[in-house]
Parts: sequence; C-alpha cells; structure tokens
Amino acid sequence: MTLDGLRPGQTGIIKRLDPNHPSLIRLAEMGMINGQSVTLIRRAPLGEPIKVRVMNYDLCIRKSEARAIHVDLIEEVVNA
Amino acid sequence: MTPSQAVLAAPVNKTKKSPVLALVGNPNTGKTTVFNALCGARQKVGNYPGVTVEKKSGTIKLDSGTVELVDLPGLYSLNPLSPDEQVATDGILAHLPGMAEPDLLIFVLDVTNLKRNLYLLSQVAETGRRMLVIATMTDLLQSEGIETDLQRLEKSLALPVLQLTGKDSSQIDLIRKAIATTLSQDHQRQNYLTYPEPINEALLSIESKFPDLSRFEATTLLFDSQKLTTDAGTEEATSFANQHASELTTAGHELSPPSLATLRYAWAEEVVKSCEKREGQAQTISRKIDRVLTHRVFGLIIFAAIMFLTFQSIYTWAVPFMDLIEWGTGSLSAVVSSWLAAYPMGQSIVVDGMIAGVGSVIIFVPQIVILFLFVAVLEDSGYLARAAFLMDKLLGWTGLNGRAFIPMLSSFACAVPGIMAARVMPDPKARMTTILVSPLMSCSARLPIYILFISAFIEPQFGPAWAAVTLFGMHIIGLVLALPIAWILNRGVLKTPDMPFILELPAYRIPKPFNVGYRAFEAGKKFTIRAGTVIFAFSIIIWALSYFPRPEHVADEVRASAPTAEESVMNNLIAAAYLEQSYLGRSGKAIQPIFAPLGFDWKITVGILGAFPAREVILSTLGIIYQIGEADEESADLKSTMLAETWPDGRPIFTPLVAIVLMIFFALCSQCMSTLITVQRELNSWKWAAFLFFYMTGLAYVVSLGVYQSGRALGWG
Ligand SMILES: Nc1nc2c(ncn2[C@@H]2O[C@H](COP(=O)(O)OP(=O)(O)OP(=O)(O)O)[C@@H](O)[C@H]2O)c(=O)[nH]1
Ligand SMILES: [Mg+2]
Repeated sequence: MTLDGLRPGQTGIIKRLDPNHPSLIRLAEMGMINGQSVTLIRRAPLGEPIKVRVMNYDLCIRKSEARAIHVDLIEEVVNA
Repeated sequence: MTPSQAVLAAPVNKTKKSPVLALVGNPNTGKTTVFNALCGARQKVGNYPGVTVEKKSGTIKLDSGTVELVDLPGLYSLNPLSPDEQVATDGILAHLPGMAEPDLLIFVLDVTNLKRNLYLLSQVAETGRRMLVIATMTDLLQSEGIETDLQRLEKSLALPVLQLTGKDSSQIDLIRKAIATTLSQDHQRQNYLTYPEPINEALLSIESKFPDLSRFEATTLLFDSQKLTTDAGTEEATSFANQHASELTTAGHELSPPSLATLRYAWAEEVVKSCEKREGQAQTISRKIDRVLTHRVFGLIIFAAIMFLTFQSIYTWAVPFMDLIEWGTGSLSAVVSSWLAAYPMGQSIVVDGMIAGVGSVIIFVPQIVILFLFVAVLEDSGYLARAAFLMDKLLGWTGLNGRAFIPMLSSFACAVPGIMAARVMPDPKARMTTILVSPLMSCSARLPIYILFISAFIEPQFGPAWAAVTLFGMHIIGLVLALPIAWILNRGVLKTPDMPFILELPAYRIPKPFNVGYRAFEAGKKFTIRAGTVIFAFSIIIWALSYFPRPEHVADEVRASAPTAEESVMNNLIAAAYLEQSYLGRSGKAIQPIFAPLGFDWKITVGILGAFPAREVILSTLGIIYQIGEADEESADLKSTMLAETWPDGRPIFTPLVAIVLMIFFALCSQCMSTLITVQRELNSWKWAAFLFFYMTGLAYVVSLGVYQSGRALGWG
C-alpha cells in the first residue's frame, strides 16, 4: 500500500519510493527513506493535501506525492 | 544558473579584505534571529519556511576587527529546488553575485528537528568550508520532552557547537570568541559518512585524480549521473566518475540520489542516538491546535472567520485614533489659516496643499498599524503555513499550489515583499504566475481608501455590520479574481507543468511581542514617512495644478453673475470656478468621459489619474480638491464635503453604488510604481511588468463598469 492509503492516525514503515516520481529526490531528502516510519496525521478539508509526520516533524504533501511512497502498515495510533 | 552549473563553476571572487561569514541552515531554524542578535539588525523573522528569500548583510565587531555576516535564505538541500534555495546554495558555494566567498559558515541548527537538520549539515560539511554550529530552539527542548547533550553533539560533529536563545549577551560573547578562534585556526575537513568499501574507494580515486573537487562534488558526480554533465571544464571528471559508477552498479551497488540520502540519514541517525533522548510524541500542543484550526469541516470556515475578524477589528479599533488625528489636523489648519490670512496664495499652499494633502493620508496610520499587528501575529504564530495547507486544494485547479498562498497572503500587507516571497515557488512559470496575481491582493495602501468611502457612504446608511462586510468583500474580490487569472496564465499562456507540493508545517509558537510590535511600529513609521515625503511632494504638485492658472476675469465673472450672494458663498463660488478652469480641472474634464460609464465625475477622475504612481495619492487629491473653497471656514471634514457634492442637476455624486464601484476600481487597479519595479526586477522583464499594469487596470475598469451598470439597472442609484 502507499502512504495515501493510510487512515489518519495510522503509521507505516517506508518500503520503497516510486523511482520515477519527479519529486523522488526531494522526498528522500525530507526524510522519506526506506525503513523510516511515517504517520498520516490528517487530511485537509477537501481531502487533499495530507499532513504526515516523519522524523518527528510535520510535512504537508499532495496525494500524488503520497502515492509514490510505498509503506507497510504497522500500528494504529488512536490519538491522531 | 542551473544547479548543475552551480556546483562546479569557478568561485566569483577571491580577493577581499574582512572575512565573510554566512548563515546557513534549514528554513525556519532561526537564522535571521541569529543574524539580528549578532549584528544588531532588525530583519524580518517569522514562523514559516521561506521568510528570508534574498541575501542580507551585516557586520559583527570582533576583538580582531569587523567581519561581514550574510544572512541567506533557508534550504533543505544543496540540490536546490526553488530560487530562494538557489540563492542559499550559490552563497555557500561562492557563486552568488555580490557576495564574496565565505570564510566561515555558521550552521544554524534547530535542535528540535535534529535529524533533518543534520542531513543538510552533512552536505554542507562536504563542501570543505570552515564551519561552526549554533544550536537554536534549545528553550523548547524541555516542553517537547527532548534531552539533547550539546557537548556530545560537538564531539560527534567535531565542530564547535554554541547556543543562542533570544539575545542573551553572554551567549553572544561566546559566539564572537568562537568565530574569532575558528577563523584563526586551520580547518579540518570533515567526512562524516561511511560508505560501503567499494564506493569509498571510488570516491578516493576520483578525489586523488581531481584534487580540486570537494567531497560534495565527488559524491554528486558518483551518485547522480544525470547531473554535472553539462559543464565543459569537468567533462573529464564526469566521465571518470561515470566509469566508476557503472562498474559499481554492475557489481550490485545502488548509486542514486535517494541511496545517498539514505547514507546521509544513517549517519544522522548515529549522531542523534549519541546525543538525544526523546520522550513521548513531539509537538503535542501544535497537534491539538491543528485539530481545530485545520479541521476537515471547520478549517476553511475558521480561516474565513479569522480574515473577517481581522478586517472588522481594523475598522472598529481605529476609530478613536482617527478621530484624534482628524481633530489635530483640523485644528492645525484652522490656526495656520488665520496666521496666513493676509497671504492668500501662501495660505492656500499650506492649508489646501500641505495640510489637507498629507493630513488626509496620515489619518490612516492607525489602520495600518493594526493591520500589521494582525499580519505579524499570523506570520509569527505558524498559522500561515496552515493557511497554505488549507488553501492548496482551492488553488490546485489553477495550476498553483498551497505554497503560492504564502506570497499571496503577504501581499495583503504589501505586494513588494509578496512578489519577493514568490521565490519559494519551485517552478519558474508558477513563480511568474504567483508574481503576476499577487498584486491583486488588497494591500495596506488600499485600506485607507476603503475606510474613507465605507465610513462616509456605507456605514451611515447601512450600519456597522454592512461596513464590515464591505471591507471584507473588498479584500476578497482580488483573491477570488486571482484564481481564474492564475488558471489562464498557467494553463493557457505559460503552460506551467504540474508541481510538487512539499511544505514543512512548523510547530505553533506564541508570537514574540517584540517582533509583532516592531513590525507594526515599522509599518506605521514607513507609512508616515511616505506621507511626509512622496505624498507630500505629490500634494504640492496637485495643489499647484489645481491653483493655476488664475486669471482675474474668472472671479469677476462669478461676481457679475451672482451679484447678490453673501460673501462666504461668493468666495466658495469663486474658488470652485477657479478649480474648474485650473490645469487639474481641465484635464479631469477632458478625461472624465472615459470614466463616466463608471459613474465618476471629473474630480474622481482626477483622483484616479493622480493615484497611478501610488494609490494613496487619491486621498490627498480628494483632500485638496474638496478643501478648496472651504478655506475660509472652520474646515469641514472630507467626508461631509464629499456627501454634499452634486452633479449639475442636483443628484449627489457619491451614492453608495459609486462608492462601491470606486473601491472595486482601487481594489483591482495597478497603481503602484514600486510593485511594477519589483516585478521588473524579479522577472527581469519590462514586458511582464507592463503586462501586469495593463491587465490589472483593464480588469479594474471592466469589473467596475459591470458593477456600476448592473447596479444602475437594478435601480441602486
Ligand atoms: N522559541 C524559540 N524560537 C525561536 C528561536 N530562534 C528563532 N525562533 C523563532 O523561530 C521562527 C523562525 O525564525 P527566523 O529567524 O525567521 O528563521 P530563519 O531561519 O531566518 O527562517 P527562513 O528565513 O524562513 O529560512 C521565528 O518565529 C522566531 O521568532 C529560539 O531560539 N527559540
Ligand atoms: Mg530568515
């Protein structure tokens, strides 16, 4: 599944990034690297963009970026 | 310059006198705060990424002499994505025009976000420059449940690590000493990363063959085959690196920018482990605030409510201050009038020209100050980035993204910094669109015009609620029209490609009273100085145009035509006759037919013409025009004079409809020389500056025309 598929509050571990995504490098530089955990915190009022937490800071990305980030769901965090 | 050229081009300038230091670091880590503390400067700070978008210089006094300190924009990586990051990258690599090669980089490190900050630090260290670290936000560690051992950090980095919170003078002293020491020492190059052995060998082999390359350049050559291939002087190095790269790839090693990022973060992780302990979740308070402010249903409503309340308070809070200023200028002109009664022309230039012209602008200082108080609170609290988050989707269809909303919101204060702030846009075409629509946002110079007309024609008839709604509407109309215009520009004219939207959301912070107060004070001061200089000069010119020519026969004709009039009435009639045949009156009447379909008379027309260099000038023009003929009396205020103005057939000139149309015209029209000059400079093109002028002015005319004519058709005056 991709980061976009998480529900608010869910955390995943990054498996891989889409190698062809145009923002691949910047996403990696912002901390989206394999093995990192990333939590989807909330979606904006119109469903997009989404706010995620990676490396203890908050980042806002669009679905198109989130779909390039493949994750394994690990846990449910109730307190979003 | 493309990033690839930036990495290997030759340094611009090596000869210099005093040492040059540069502040580098991730966006929003406190670089400008450090700059202000060290240089005693007052550059703008704010709690969102991308406050600083150009270099700013200051000096620090050390015992050994002064050194220059350059504040650079923030950046996430030495692979810059946007023009502001490009400026920072060029500054670090010594390719920035007007900036000498830095002798020392002061790396500003936000300790609450250690790991991601270390990513950039690892890149910057590899450029081989001398470095020193200043840790910021140390005051937030405790509340965030983080324990950071800065001594261990110092050891892991093998760099001096200092701290700065606020303007602590003992910390500043330590920093000064550390700067002096570091500058005097030979410096050790740091290679932090550990590479798998074959990669390491390849790097060493590249470096021994091309000793001029920094470690950063060598790794870039090896890990990013798509970069660095264009520069002629480095073809050899590139092909040598590519050879190594293909051998390594065949042997099963992954060589790509993301794999390099992984290696950097592996190092960062080690450092973090060595010096940081974290308990619980980070930013819990910010998250609670966000749960409300960025709520899925209420988020946008709250945003609109915040905007509405802002303008509502500007309107109501300023009233007592305005009354005070009005009373002041009124009494001043009465006193001066009686002093100068013996010199009619002198009296006219001082009372009708200077006091009326400048006074009608000065009266709006309270609103400007209050507006900037609100803007500063929004910027310093961290809400601005949330506004970008909320608005992204609404901007998406136009080809812009939430990032563009930050320059657009800044433009509500003033378009000039707003246009500069468009440097955060990653795509040049999207940046151009952002620049071209930002001046449509209603800047603080428009505010006085709205207040004048709303308080004269809307509030008395419709009450304070509608006054607030009108003020809000005037601020929204530009924003709403900016969307279709951005769509046309992006999709139709420029063919802007799709852009990523990756925006850091900083933690909320309580705005610093000093920062907020200073922004407001400075805005008020600037506005007052402008009123005393530019507006003053225009007031005199406009007064002169309204006073001359002054042939005797005009007065004689008036006396002859109404021989029985009382003296005060007679004087007013004469003044009005002179005004009508003055240069100002003649040109206004000649051009008025263009504005007649909008419901404007020749006096308003003159006001509009005078406002093209700077929109506030309409206030002094109206102040001057309506003051004339009132000079002998206790001068009536501008509002009541305007209310009394009539067409020859006795209909009032200013109806609520005309007031609305005039406000809309000013909301949309391009009437600011500084904006056009800034656009020219940022886009390096007069063509686009001219385009901006014509499209905005045309839009203002068309929309005003539409509103006036439909208003008339509906029978609204
Ligand atoms: N609590 C706390 N806040 C700080 C500290 N240093 C800076 N700030 C705040 O952090 C925010 C960012 O500060 P700036 O100095 O504008 O940061 P910058 O690095 O210049 O930001 P950009 O120009 O956008 O890259 C502002 O709201 C500052 O008031 C600090 O040591 N502690
Ligand atoms: Mg700054």
